[in-house]
Amino acid sequence: MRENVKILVVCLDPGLRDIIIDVLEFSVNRKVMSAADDRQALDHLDMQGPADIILCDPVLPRMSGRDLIAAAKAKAPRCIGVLMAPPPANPGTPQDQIVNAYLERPADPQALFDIVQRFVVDG
Amino acid sequence: MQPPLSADQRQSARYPAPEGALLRVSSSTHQATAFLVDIGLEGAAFEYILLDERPKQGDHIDILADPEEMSIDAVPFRIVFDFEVEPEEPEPVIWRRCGIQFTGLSADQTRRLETLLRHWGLDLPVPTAATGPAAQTQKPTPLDEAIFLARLKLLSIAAKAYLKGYPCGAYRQRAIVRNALDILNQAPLQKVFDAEEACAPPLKAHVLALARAFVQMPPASSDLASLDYSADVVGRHLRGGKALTQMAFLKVA
Repeated sequence: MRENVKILVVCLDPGLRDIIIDVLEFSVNRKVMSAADDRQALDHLDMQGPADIILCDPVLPRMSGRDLIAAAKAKAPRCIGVLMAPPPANPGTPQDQIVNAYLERPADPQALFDIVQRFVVDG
Repeated sequence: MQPPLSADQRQSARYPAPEGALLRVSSSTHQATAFLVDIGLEGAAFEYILLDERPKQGDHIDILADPEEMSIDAVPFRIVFDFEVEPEEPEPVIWRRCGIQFTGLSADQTRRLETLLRHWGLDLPVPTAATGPAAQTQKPTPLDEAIFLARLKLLSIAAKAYLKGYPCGAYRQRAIVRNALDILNQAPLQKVFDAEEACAPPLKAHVLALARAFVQMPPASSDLASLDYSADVVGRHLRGGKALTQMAFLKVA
């Protein structure tokens, strides 16, 4: 079990962002950070320090979600990056090493519970 | 005449009316004043002296308030029950109690009703701006519906976890309360309930019972067995997902 886990959710849709945060805070009983876009996310990482887990939309206003995960990992190499998108059709490219997991149905609590189990409890 | 709605069948809470609160029942041919007994966002009950006419479909009510500007005129309704009240002592008049459900409230009437209930000091269960008329006229998108279903799933899981005595720290509690509030806000817009009108009691009743209970922690209900049953009904309806026992991390937060 990863203690005092710091999770950052980067999601453009406020309703989706809220339910993800509620499910995650319910799961880990910790404050979960959120950002409405990539700029907020980068500001957050600069000011609040690195995140243990970052979940982000695949497409953001100024960069891709994959690039944002790469930026987060540049600050904290052990950061877990979860892209809220279907997994790629052809996995195994170098780019895919950046993303630790894909979340095809981010609104589904069970999918989020699985992320918690894998990266917070087991990880 | 349809039977009275039970508390579970009602879509929103009822509150005892302030002492002396009045309403006026009006049709095209007559007007009668009545005493308000209880009221909520979706209906009311009142007592009246039977003179020549009983309330009937097609009438409307005016809810009278002080100051007068807060009164709400021409509220359409359907009659849910209307029965003679047994007097504690012999009386020269016949008192009847009538329960009504508001029908087709305009956005302005809904807003005014919320304002009046708060003016009367009644603690509405959904005290957010999102319950206003604007929110009620928006149609949910597919993403909204997916999010609502996710919230129902979280509600069911959270209720079961709480009822099983799992630890409930501050952030977990806040997530449960936020989730319940959001469900209460969004429920009037959702189509998920449309297909099960014939069920008795319908899924919506179980969802609302759970959500109303969990808008505060500990939940606002002493009937834990009933909440447990409602959580099972909602969980079964949504299907899928692991059993609570397979989510061991919920036991340690």
